[in-house]
Amino acid sequence: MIEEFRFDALAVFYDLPVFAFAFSDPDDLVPGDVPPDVEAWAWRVGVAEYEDSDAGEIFALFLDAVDTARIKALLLGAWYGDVSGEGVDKFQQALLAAADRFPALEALFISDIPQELSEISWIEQQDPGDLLAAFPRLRVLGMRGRLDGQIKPFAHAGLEELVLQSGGLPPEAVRAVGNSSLPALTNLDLYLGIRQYSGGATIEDLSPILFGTAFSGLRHLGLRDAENVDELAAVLAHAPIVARLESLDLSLGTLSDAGASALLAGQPLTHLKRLDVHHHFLSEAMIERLWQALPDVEINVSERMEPREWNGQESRYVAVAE
Amino acid sequence: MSDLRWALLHTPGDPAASAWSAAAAAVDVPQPRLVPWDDVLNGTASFGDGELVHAERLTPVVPTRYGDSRDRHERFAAALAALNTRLAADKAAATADAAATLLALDRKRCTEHLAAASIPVPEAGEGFIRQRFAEPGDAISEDRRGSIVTTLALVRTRSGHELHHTLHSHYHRAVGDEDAGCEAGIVDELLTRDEETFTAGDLPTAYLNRAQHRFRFAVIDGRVTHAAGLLADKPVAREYFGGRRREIAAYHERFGPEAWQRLIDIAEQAATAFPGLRAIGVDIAANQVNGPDVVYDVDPFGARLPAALGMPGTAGEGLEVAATTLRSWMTR
Repeated sequence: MIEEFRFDALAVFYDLPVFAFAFSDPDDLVPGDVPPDVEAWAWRVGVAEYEDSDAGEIFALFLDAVDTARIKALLLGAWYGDVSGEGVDKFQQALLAAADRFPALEALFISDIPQELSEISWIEQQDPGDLLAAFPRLRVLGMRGRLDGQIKPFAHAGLEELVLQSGGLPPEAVRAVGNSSLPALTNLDLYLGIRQYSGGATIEDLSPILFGTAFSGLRHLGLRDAENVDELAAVLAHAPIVARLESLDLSLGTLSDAGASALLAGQPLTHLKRLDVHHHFLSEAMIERLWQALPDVEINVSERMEPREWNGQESRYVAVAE
Repeated sequence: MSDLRWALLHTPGDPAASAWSAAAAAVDVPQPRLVPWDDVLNGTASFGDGELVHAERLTPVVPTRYGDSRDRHERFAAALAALNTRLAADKAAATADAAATLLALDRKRCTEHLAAASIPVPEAGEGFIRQRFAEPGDAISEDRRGSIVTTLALVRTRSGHELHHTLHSHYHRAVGDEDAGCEAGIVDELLTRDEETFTAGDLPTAYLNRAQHRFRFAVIDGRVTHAAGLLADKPVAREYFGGRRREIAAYHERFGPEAWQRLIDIAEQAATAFPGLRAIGVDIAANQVNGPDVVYDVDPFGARLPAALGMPGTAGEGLEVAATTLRSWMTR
């Protein structure tokens, strides 16, 4: 699975270490600046620091300087260095125009931008449909940012892993995922986020996924960073999709004893290999209940959080929002 | 081709073997005879009269691991002792002194040793957390109690809590902070209890080319041959130091050649404290304000600077670290 997002750009992608290509001036590029074992790296292209102009020249030089035909894993970074999070459309268009230069591409991450260059909610993500069509060998797609534009259902015959990282995944985007045609999909991670940042997907929005009609081959489902994870857990307790999963990830959200209790009260979960709830608000007693109820399941209960008090009320919070 | 007869002790799967193989090809030296560490441990290894034997790590580095480092260190010490016995019986020679190797790998003793030799080292304190017996290149956890980024993560298991290094920055919450989670106290307790923890009060960075850097030097036969800046504030899964070292140029431009020469002098002085090691890595945290530049790691296996070429005018010019080291052994 694609690494969890909290603050940093990815260090590893598609099981390959990331090499950051941020050169823009051909005269500044000397032999040895880029590693010769092209296949052994995942390549992140884009602006690396504040104030750099834009990634147009960087991407052009990348195409000239690197044998892109050998690249299996590519990450698009920031287009602009002004922390605006804009320019994803330009980067997507640039890659689309050069699609024939990446015949071996199997893994693509759009907008692998660290927090220091742009808050996740500022990244103006775009519909990736044209890129999916342009890269038929793609197996992994990751995207970071707000997807509140017109996201159409995804369609790809070979895509096995889809990860959408957002501080608030709009209900429209969630429905687009659920209505996608991804027959090979085995791993799905959705960072649902909070309403304040365009999130707010409901059970109804998620129903094609939860009730098993969307992705029959799914083995890992992540409904992460969700402010309504207790509600999700209660539905997952009876959702048909769960019986097919090996791995269920409800991490980064606001899971409380109510949600965990509802989850345990439903269908058996003993078939799972992994249950990940890290960054949670469970009591010690509930953690113990999980361990006892699922003795052979690898359960990640790290990062136990304490609610904050806000206007006299307890408030639980997700890990990734702004 | 050189007539150097040499053997490489390694653990299968450790990429060090292919690195040494490439180095041998680069300087026209015969390929090493590969000897698994297991053969030494089970007593079946044998060496030729006069053969030069280089021992790589017994256990490859696992950067996410935190803890058990004393056990690994003690296993390595026992393995080196077994190796020395075998080498003496076979009249073969080691490339590195075992006692010096072990001294370099014990941060507490190493720091005391360097300080006794008047080499600047991090001051005592509790700011930066490291494993006492881990190797250069392991993650450095910045800030024990505060809320700035750290690379130390608390992982909860059925049997308790463990500390793991993570490549990623990760807020771990301060004790007493009203926004805190409830784990910071556990982190503190684990660190206090863990006698393998090595802490230092100050480990500066130099801000160059819009990134925080520390420096790594290769010192071979007493002279610095290679150098590169290490990114101190960004996760790096695999290091690559090929091409122009722009951070060194930036350091020159900002602080002047005298300051750079001072770092080189410190690295070479540190090497003199380990006369049994002909090729070592020295990591220096350069202070860009008025504090001292400090040596915070010594690597007895040689500086890990993949793809870096030696500086002009040095024995490493045009060569990588391992190839330069092999050249040095040819002239023993």
